[in-house]
Amino acid sequence: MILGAFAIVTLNLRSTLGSLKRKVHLEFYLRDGATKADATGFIAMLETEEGVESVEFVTAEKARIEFIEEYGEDLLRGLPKNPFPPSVRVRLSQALTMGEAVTKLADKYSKESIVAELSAPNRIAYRLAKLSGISLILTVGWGIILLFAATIIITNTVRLAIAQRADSIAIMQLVGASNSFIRMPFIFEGVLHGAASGGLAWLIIWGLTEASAYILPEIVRLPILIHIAIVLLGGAFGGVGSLIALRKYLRY
Amino acid sequence: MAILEVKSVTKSYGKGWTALSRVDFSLREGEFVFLVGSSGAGKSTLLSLITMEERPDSGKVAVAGFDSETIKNEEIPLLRRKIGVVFQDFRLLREMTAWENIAFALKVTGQPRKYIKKRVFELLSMVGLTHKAQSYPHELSGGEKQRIAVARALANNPLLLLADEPTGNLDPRATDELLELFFEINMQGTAVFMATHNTALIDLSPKRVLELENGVLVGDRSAGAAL
Repeated sequence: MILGAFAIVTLNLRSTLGSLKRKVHLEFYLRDGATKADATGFIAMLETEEGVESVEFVTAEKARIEFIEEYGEDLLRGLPKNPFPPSVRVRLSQALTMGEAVTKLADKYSKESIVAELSAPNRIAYRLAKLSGISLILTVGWGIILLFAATIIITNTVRLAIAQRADSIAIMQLVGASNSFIRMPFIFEGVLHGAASGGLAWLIIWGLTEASAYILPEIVRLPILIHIAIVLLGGAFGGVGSLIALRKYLRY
Repeated sequence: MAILEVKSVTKSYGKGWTALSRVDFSLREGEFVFLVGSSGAGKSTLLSLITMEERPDSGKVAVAGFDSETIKNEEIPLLRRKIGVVFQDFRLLREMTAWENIAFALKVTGQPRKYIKKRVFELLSMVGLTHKAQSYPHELSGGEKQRIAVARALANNPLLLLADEPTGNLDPRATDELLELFFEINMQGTAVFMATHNTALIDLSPKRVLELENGVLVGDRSAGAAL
């Protein structure tokens, strides 16, 4: 369940980061009156930079239309006809961390003569990128630790079951029951314990995710394959725990 | 034909304690043998080597076509089906009736239900306890429990019946009755190898006697000879 919770947090962090990265761009605001022809050389230089996905010349008029689409016309009433300068909009590749690419481009191009001002992405995006990376490492790390712990718990559970049934196991061995006849019920029990635990964890995660969706409708749900994997993984490690217990505690 | 051969077998435990030292004997099909010796003489160790619960440190044990030097772990259940074992403490399952205890030995070896029903009835009749089929172990006397244990040991038609101090927890009358039962079983062709420290038992019928003392076979008296 803890693993599933971490997985959801990581998934949502990465989704938020991804959508932020799509919206985020560098905007080099150009000096008044600069035209596309003036910016051609500047644009060409930017297009050759590593980490740059696309470079677009945004006219003053386009900037004004975009503003109205997002915020409405009211804010512009009373202002000069078009307060927006032309700009060169740089979208960054999602494969790179934004911090590196932004710093590099800002340092290199903010002092170009055609550039009046530079608008860089919000710090939040940088922090999210870092958090997303940390969350992924934690998810994987926790996952390994918890699977290990679950296996130990199931090994102990089966060990107790073996101890509890010591008398009947001894009789079975005495009268010639085959190894598989003796072992199969314990393996089955381990798999069942593991799968049931996985199923319960899935149910809790699913319930919490659905409940969270009322507050955060954009919450990203775990893919169905992950749900199935949680149950199957539980069963598999349950079986592994049983086998370890049988090898260690069931003498033949 | 020998169904059991113990060849120069030695078994030690820990540092310096030799439970058995160069023990050598064989048992023929249908033979009845007493194994006598005081407590700690090595009788139980010898029986555990015959059931391959343990392996000798040197020498070999060959029983019912299996050999301690070559037998694989997965073959041990097959050997155990050819050997019936009876213990001093009966070792019946408390939560099962007499019927179920005997049937258990047949179920775990994959016998069909119809056969189990028939065989269990036969065995209960043989030991004279059909009227106690639905009784639980705590409802049976010591002698009755041991007879159920014998019935279970015979469930899979073993070639050899091993008995480790089977009369140890019984009163004299139950002891006599149990011994009679073992003699009957032997008369029907099953070899019997009975470990006991009760020399009075041996006097009841002149059978072959092996004598163990401090892990060494000190005597092998043939059937009919005086002890």
